[in-house]
Amino acid sequence: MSRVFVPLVFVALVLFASAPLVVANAPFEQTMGLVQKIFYYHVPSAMLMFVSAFVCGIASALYLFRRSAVADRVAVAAGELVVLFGLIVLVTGPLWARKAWGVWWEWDARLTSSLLLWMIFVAYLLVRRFGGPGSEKLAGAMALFGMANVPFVYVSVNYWRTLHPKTSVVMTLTPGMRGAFWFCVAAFVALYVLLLTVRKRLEDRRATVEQLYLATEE
Amino acid sequence: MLVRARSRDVLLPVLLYPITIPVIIAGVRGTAAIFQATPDEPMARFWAALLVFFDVVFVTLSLWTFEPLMTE
Repeated sequence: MSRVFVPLVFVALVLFASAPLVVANAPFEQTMGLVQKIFYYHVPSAMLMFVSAFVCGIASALYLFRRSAVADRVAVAAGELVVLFGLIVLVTGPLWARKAWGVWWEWDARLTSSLLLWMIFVAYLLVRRFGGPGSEKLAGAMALFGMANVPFVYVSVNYWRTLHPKTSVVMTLTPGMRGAFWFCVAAFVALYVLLLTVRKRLEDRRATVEQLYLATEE
Repeated sequence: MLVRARSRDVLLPVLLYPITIPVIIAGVRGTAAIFQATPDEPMARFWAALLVFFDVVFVTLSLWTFEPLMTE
């Protein structure tokens, strides 16, 4: 694991250091101009938020049904990353919306669904932290239900008149933008994998320490 | 013990709110589609279908997770 880890740190650093240059060199969008550039950070974060929600849900399911402690640690890491990337999405989104729509926030389907997803995972972390003994299992169920909720909010997006650009906008990017966009996606994926491994390793260490404490007490 | 019970009470709305919102939205939108001046039947049917699917998924999931969650 550590053999892959160091090169990955390096790759992620290079990607993130060069991302602003790549974004700056990408062509300007015709109607939005400079404002559109936030898209390169907003969309990858949103993608990873959804991915992370599924990682957390599936890991929680493994924890509940297989009693795998490792899966539980992955679930914590992924749950925290949903909140982190969700925060990036919920901050960059309104910044763009202020310029594009003239309002910071609109109770639009996509926005509402993202906020709900974010709140579900904040609740997940709250339950883990303050739920008392045995809360890991309850939190695991919470993550599972939260994951099941995602498709519903996603489907309703298509039927609800929405201001938010459709996801198909990614496919219609001009070539210059497309390169920069996928570059940023790669950078964010590298960041995500890094954070997930670091956070999981922290939980591993914590579990080891706990075991050692128990061993010395006996 | 009291502190813990209270924290659990506080947690309930925090958990319940985001999970039930899709149901509430579907219910409100579907009812609005029926009761507007010219009823929009396909729209109401869509939201009703969404409610049914929600029921199916969540009942299945509840039955499925009850045992590992509530038994030690």
